[in-house]
Amino acid sequence: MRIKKIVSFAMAAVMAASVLTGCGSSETSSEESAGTGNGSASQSGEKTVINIWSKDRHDANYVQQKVDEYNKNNTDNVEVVYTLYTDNYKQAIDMAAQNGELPDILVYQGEAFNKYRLNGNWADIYPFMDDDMKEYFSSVIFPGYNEFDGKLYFLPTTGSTCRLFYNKEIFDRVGIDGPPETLEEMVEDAKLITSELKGEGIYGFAENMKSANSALLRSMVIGLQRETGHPYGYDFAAGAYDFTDWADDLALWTELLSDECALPGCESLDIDPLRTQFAAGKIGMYFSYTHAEPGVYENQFPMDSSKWDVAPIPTSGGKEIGKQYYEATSAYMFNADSANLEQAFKTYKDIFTTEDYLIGYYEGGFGVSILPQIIEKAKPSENFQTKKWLQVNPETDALLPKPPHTAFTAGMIVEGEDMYKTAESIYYGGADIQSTLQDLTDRYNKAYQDAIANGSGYEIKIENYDPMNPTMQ
Amino acid sequence: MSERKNAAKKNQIKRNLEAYTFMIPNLILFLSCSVYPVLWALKYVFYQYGGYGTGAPRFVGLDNLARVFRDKVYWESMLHTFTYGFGKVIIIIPLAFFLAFLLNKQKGINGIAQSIMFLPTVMSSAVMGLVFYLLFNAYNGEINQYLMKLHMISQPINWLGKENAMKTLILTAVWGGVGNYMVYFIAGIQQVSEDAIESARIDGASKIQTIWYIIVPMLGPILKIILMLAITSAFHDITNVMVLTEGGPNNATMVSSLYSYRYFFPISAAEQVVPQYGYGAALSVVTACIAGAVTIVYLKLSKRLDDIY
Repeated sequence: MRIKKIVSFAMAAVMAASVLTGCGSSETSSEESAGTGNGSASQSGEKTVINIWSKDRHDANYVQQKVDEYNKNNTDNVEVVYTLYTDNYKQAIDMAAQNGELPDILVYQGEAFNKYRLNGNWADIYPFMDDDMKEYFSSVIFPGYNEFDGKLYFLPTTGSTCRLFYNKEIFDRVGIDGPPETLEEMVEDAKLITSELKGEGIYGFAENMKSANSALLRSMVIGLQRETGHPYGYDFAAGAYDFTDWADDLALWTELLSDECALPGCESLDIDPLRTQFAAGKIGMYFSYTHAEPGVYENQFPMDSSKWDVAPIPTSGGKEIGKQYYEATSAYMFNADSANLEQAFKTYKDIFTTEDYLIGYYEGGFGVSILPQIIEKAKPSENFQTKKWLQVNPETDALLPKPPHTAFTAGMIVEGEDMYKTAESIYYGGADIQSTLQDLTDRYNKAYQDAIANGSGYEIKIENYDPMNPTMQ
Repeated sequence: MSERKNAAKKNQIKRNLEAYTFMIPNLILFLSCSVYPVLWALKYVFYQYGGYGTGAPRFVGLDNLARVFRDKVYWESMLHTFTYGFGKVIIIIPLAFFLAFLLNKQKGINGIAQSIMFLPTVMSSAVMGLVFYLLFNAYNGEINQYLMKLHMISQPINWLGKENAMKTLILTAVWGGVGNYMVYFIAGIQQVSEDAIESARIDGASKIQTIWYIIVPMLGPILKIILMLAITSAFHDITNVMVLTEGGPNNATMVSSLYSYRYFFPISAAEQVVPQYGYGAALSVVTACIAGAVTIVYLKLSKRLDDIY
């Protein structure tokens, strides 16, 4: 009986210890994993480890190759660990920021940048730049975008915006001369293609409508910036939201997504399956980003470059009273708490800011350079030489200021569905356009005013804001 | 007298200590992984909080709960949850019972067939969601191609479109869960006394009569558990929905748990989300209350299933 008791106590003690050991070991492992996170580079043997996180799949091979070269040749005794997060990049940053385990260098992500800049998570890189570097990159320093209060946080080297991608072969087959210039024309073209070629499984239009937000942010919402002069429904001059001028576009989009125009199953389509269908010659037109698609059709889903082309996003009635947003890309943010911040910046400078890297990046079709020195020297791929709308065009594209829901994302709580899901309720749910857009306007304005009132937001108004010559502040 | 009392008390404590020592590991896990998150969620019901890096949580009283009752999309998602749960249960239970009855005897290929039927239960539902997407998509999905080859349809069916998405989801849920319920039923059937079945046969009962009047009633207690598992799982079955439809199109397959989840995390990489932990917690608490109420009602209604003939 006594032995039994001793054994049972021993077993219980082992079980309790195993639970506690479990906790203990996770603590140890988090310390050990500090090398891959924790903001600071850790020592691996004698080498200083610099961790870089990226979200970009399209340039991963190119960057990895440059990192490998650097690891082999650098004289600073540095080992760069390059980690690719694709689907969960934002969450990975959130978790790391929360646990103090941010890597030394991170590929720029707008939401994370806005969210953690005010927390002081990102380092000011001006102190590490010499005069030559400041001069070289002076054309990509934009106050209110990457420079705030005299502090510079990242250097974009390429730009991306959204365009209409169309299949020239399909257009030729049904006798369409060129890309549509108005949204009305686009609907007609899509109807024509679908009615003529549906039997062969070819349809006029498709978009990755599985996620309204992802689809509209590369299409309608960007076109509306030029058409209305109100980026994301925000009137910077008035300092208020107004979505009512989305009505014409939404009516046309409802037609565009109907069976008369669109690929069956658009409602559940992701972007990659869409691209496979476009590469297979089954889709006449779709909208997407200029930085991604050329690489996709060169490497991921090969398609003859002569078969497709690019055009500006058509607007309703061809109206154009503003510029559309382009995003400055291929930028890197620096963890302000990194123990090796100075070395991290030097490593970044040695890998990512050399002309060899920047020219190779542009010529490889991974992004469209916005640096005049690189544009002048590089010989980009055929796509970028022959398709002029793949370039960022100052006539139509500009950096735009941030509306309240982006400037203080978490501070502005909109009750009910956001602008993208609300648009979906119109084109897929048949909701009444006028009343739905009025309600959307009221909800956004209420959330904005509440945010100002409770101190989680602030007033954003740009006196004499000119949509054709937008200013950031 | 008091000395004897003290000794008895000491003995009691000693005996209890042994039990408590055994309980400690589980208790720690239970408190940290179950109780703490629930208390955390309950606390945030009264706050507006966007997560780390978005400022301190702001006390908003009952605003989040009041907002739940105004939220049309949430109540639609609750309706979808019931449709999904009901659709799943009425197909999966008879089907699992039928398969269990068919594969119950350990002979021939039954063992292999049982394993095959059980396989979906252990497969990742996220991966299976992707596979089902390839099978069901309207433009080049295998299902449409086979049906067209067999001349059963002339035009591709939009399986994931507004009209059919929920039916497709139910179908995939049945596929994923039937093996599991089949195993429960097999366990139940094997508990049915051979003597009772033998007596029924001697009394001249046909096979169907034996199943209906002898086996089914004797499966009452296990059926009660199976039904309860099927109903409660419908309230938190989201992986499949997340991968296959993301709750769309136009929220046609949005279920209540996925709707709450959306306020904590993005449903997909393409999705942008403004975290609202407070509102998400309020939605979760209301959903848990509804699931609890449904379970209580079910347990009351299903009392008869405990009575074995």
